Amino acid sequence: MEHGRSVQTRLVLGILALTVAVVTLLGSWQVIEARDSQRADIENGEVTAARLAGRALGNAVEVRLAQLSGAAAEPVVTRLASAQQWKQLSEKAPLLHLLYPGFASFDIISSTGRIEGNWASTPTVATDERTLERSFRAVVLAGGPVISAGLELASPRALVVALSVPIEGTHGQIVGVLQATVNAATLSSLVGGSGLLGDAKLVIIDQQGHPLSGPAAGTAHTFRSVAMVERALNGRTGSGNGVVPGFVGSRLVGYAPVAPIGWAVIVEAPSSTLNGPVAALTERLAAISLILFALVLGAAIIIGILLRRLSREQEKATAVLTSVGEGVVTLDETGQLIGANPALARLVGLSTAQLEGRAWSETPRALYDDEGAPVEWKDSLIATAILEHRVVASTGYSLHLAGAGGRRIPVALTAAPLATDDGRDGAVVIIRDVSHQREVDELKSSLISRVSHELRTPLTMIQGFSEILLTRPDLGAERSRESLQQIQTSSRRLGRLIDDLLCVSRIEAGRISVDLASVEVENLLSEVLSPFEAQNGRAFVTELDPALGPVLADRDKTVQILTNLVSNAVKYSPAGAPVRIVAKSAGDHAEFSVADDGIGMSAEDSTCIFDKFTRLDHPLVRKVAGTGLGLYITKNLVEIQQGHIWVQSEPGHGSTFTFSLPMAPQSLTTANRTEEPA
Amino acid sequence: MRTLLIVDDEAGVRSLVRMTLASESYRIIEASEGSGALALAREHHPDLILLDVMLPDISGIDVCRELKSDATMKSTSVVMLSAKAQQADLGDAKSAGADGYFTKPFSPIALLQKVEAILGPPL
Repeated sequence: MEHGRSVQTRLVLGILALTVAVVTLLGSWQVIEARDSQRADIENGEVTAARLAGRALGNAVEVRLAQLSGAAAEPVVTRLASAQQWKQLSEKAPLLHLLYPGFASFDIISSTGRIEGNWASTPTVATDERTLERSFRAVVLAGGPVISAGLELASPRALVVALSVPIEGTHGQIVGVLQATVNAATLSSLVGGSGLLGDAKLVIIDQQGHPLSGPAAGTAHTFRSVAMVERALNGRTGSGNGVVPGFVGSRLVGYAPVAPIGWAVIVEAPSSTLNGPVAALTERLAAISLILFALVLGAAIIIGILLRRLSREQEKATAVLTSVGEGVVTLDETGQLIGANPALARLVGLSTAQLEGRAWSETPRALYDDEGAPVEWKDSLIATAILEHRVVASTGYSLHLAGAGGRRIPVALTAAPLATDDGRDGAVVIIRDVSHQREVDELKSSLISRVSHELRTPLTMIQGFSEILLTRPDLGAERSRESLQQIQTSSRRLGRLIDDLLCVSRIEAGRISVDLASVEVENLLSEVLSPFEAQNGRAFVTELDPALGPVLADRDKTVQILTNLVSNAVKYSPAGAPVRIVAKSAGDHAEFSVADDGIGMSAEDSTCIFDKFTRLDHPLVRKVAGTGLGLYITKNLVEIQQGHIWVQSEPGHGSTFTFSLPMAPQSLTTANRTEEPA
Repeated sequence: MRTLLIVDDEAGVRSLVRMTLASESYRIIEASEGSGALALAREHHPDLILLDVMLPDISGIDVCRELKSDATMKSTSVVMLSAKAQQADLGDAKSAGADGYFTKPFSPIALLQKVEAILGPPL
């Protein structure tokens, strides 16, 4: 069920998603086409701008370099012949600024890294000796001017590019460096001011990916994570959409390397610049999409309602399957179990999970025929139902199911063809435990057999003696009388038998009723014993507790109970042996016992002697006619009067049957007494 | 005089059979159990035994089989009397060697005719 619901949910969501996707896809096509063409134009522009900016920046650097190391530097730096000249050079550093505007600083650095002369436009500019020494060594290594970037300048970061020019001694050896720094912002404004970029912004990025200009300049941002910057730093030109540090939102970016110094420039503009020309189309499309979405949503709601209704139906079906007492199992055409309800699981002593997915042949709880051999799948009624597309049912008690602990459970089976969820042939099978039904059938057969036997004997005599009376007029008075007596005895016997059967029928149908009243025990015992006392040679010993008050009982039924017990005592004890009847008080109950010195019974027999059709396996019992219903009826008559019955016995040492009945309440006995005089 | 043995645990049935066959031609002896029947049969070698199937101790069918396999009892005929009326019971009686089979209730006249048919008319 859970699975079913999640499938439905997925289905609804899937339909929704698919429809929205299709609508969006189709509807957006025009916009996408328009946007793509516009994007291509803009991107081309950005790329061009970035390339031009990179080239311009590179050119600007080169021009400055040329100025510094070329003609303009000539009067300052040639060869230093003496320490005096070195000193003069150092003193000229501030003058260089006047000669070469646009530079941020000039430093004259000795080979040890010491600043011999300095001028800076910003007082905060400061460099440590180690850095300066590194610049010196870079120049020595290159043997000529070096452009370096990312000098560890404290602040602002915008002062970044350093042009280092060697200062040679008299023998051509490099004795120092003239280092000039260029403000990147200056370069940037130079390029920006050229009109190459239009509305776009320029960001210069050094080798390490740090922005030297733009809003992120001087911050800890690195543009290395921006793929386009990385590509530019690797010497490539191009464009794309991306998030640029320091800018809000997605940007349209053109990127290009700055060739001489290994930097990159990016030219960026917000992506929203695209929206203007296509805004109208987009708005129209949005409206269409909204309407379509509403339609789809409506459809989805209707589908949802239908599915929920379906799901309720399924839930109902599942509830029926779960609560139904019969085992229900579905199988596919190969005999694989697809599902089983709890009743079937209980029947075979496995969980439904253990059953599902099992193959018929692997199921240890498969069906067995009446000889105990497993029924092959292909021979089974289920396979027949699937193959012949018809409902097939088993008959009689020929099929067994192996239940828990190897118990054989007689089952009736009905198999109906059914297509499985994936369209294959299968069957739904209802398996019913018919143990009880079989028991009832066996009882019925036993009843018929016993009853017919018990009926035949008195009938034989009635028919036989009446035939003799009719066909032999010369029979004589004595034989005629004997015949009539036999007919009478047999008729009574038949009557009793029919009474017993009707009584059992009423007990089984729960239709037996009791008419409870206050019953005096002494009267009761006299009524029961008088017919027996007429028999010769048998003593009936009665012990009546004088303190025993009346019992709350149905008088006729209690007479029947005692009569049955006394009659059994007489039948199953030697002729002349006494029968003792005791009635005594036992708390709020009265106990009646009937004891004999008869054949007795084992403890095992005692437990089932009150069962229907139970007779002891004893020669004397077989000699005496009986249906095995007497004690069953007796027990039921006791119990409907709120009493209990039990037996104490030993084989060969007689039996004592005792039953209890509730005492009549005081109010009832008083009422009876007051009524008596009337 | 011919000797007839009536075997039935029901005294009433024995009484009926006795009255049916009572004549000067027959001497009638009775037993209520299978063991007693075998003893009486071996002692008196009756001409015919009317034998109930359901006896308290041993089955009438077994009594019949035992008598029929006894060489000294060759001259004794056996007619089964039974409250059982199944085809199988009749088959059992036949296979045990019974000479006749009566189902209760039976007609005394028919029984008498059967006895006379087996033994011949009364002497």
